Amino acid sequence: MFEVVVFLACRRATPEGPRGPGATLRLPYTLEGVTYTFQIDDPAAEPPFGLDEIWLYLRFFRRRGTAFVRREFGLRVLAVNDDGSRTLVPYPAGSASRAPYSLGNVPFPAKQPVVSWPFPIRNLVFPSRGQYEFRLLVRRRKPSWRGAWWSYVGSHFIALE
Amino acid sequence: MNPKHTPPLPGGEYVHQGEPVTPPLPPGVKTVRFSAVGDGGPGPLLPRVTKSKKRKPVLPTLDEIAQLPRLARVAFANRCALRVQPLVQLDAGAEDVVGDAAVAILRAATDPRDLAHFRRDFERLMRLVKENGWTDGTPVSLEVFGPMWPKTRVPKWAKETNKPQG
Repeated sequence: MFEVVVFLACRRATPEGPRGPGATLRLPYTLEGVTYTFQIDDPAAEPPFGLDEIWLYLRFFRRRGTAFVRREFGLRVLAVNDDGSRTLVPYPAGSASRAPYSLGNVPFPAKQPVVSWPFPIRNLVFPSRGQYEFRLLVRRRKPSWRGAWWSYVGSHFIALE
Repeated sequence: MNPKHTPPLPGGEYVHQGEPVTPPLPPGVKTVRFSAVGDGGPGPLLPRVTKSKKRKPVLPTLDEIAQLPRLARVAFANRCALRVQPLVQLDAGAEDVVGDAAVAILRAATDPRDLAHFRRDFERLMRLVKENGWTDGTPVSLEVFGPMWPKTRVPKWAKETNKPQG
C-alpha cells in the first residue's frame, strides 16, 4: 500500500511555519543533526549509554488505495556485531520481551498520498559504542482477520562513537 | 528503498505528529549527551539488511535423498526414471538414478532448466513426508508428485511424437 522513501535518524526535528487550523496537517519540519555518526559528548563516559532522545523521520509514498486507513508500526533496535550479526537492544530498556516496540497507529488519510512522520525515541539505552540498526516493522493482518504479524518495512543505521 | 522512482498518487501531504509512548529509563543508567558529527570518515561497510537466499544445488544430493523414508526413496527413483523414459530406460533400483536421469536430459535437452524438476519433485516429497509423518513403511504413490511437466512447459524431447520408429 505504501512505500518508505525516507527513513533517517537525526538529533532533533522542529516544526516550523505558521500554525493554525488546518496548518498542522502539513506542518513542515526542520531536521537538525541529520547524520550517520553520533558522538557521545563525554569521551570518558562508560556504557551503558542512556540517550534522552533521538528523532526518526519517515516519509511514506502511497502507491495504491485511496481510502483512509491506519497502520500500526513497530520498532526494533539492534546492535550490529563485528561479523554482521545482530543483537537485540531491549526497548524499553530492561524489557525481556523480544516483541517490537509499538510506535502506535499512523493514519493514511484519503487523497493524501504523501505522509511524513517525525517522532522521537526517548530513553533508549545503548549497551556500548558501535553500529546500530533501527528496524521498522508494520503490523499486518491475515486475510482471514485471525491474527496478525509484524512485517519488515525498512532499516536505518547509525554509528555511535 | 525506492528503486522504481515512481511518483506517489496525486493529492496532498499529511504530516503525522503522534509520538510513541516514552518508556521509563531504568535506575542506574546515566543519560549522556551526544552530537551529530557528520557522515565522513572511513568505516566498515553497512551490513546486509536482508538475508541472502540460500540456494540449493539443482539436483538433490545423495545425502538429501537418504533422508527420505524407504518407500518415498523408491517412489522418487521411479519418478526420475519415468521422467526420462522418452530418452532412456533406467533401472529405478540403481544407486544414482537422479544423476543418470540428469545426464540423459543434458544430452538431449536444449534447456538445462528441465533439471529443476528433479529438485521440485524432491522438495514436494520432503514436504509431504514432514507434514504427514511418513515412515519407512508408508506406501507412496507416484500420484503424489502431480503432473510430470507443467502444461505449457513440456520439453520437446518429452513430447510424444508419431514419427515412425526404425
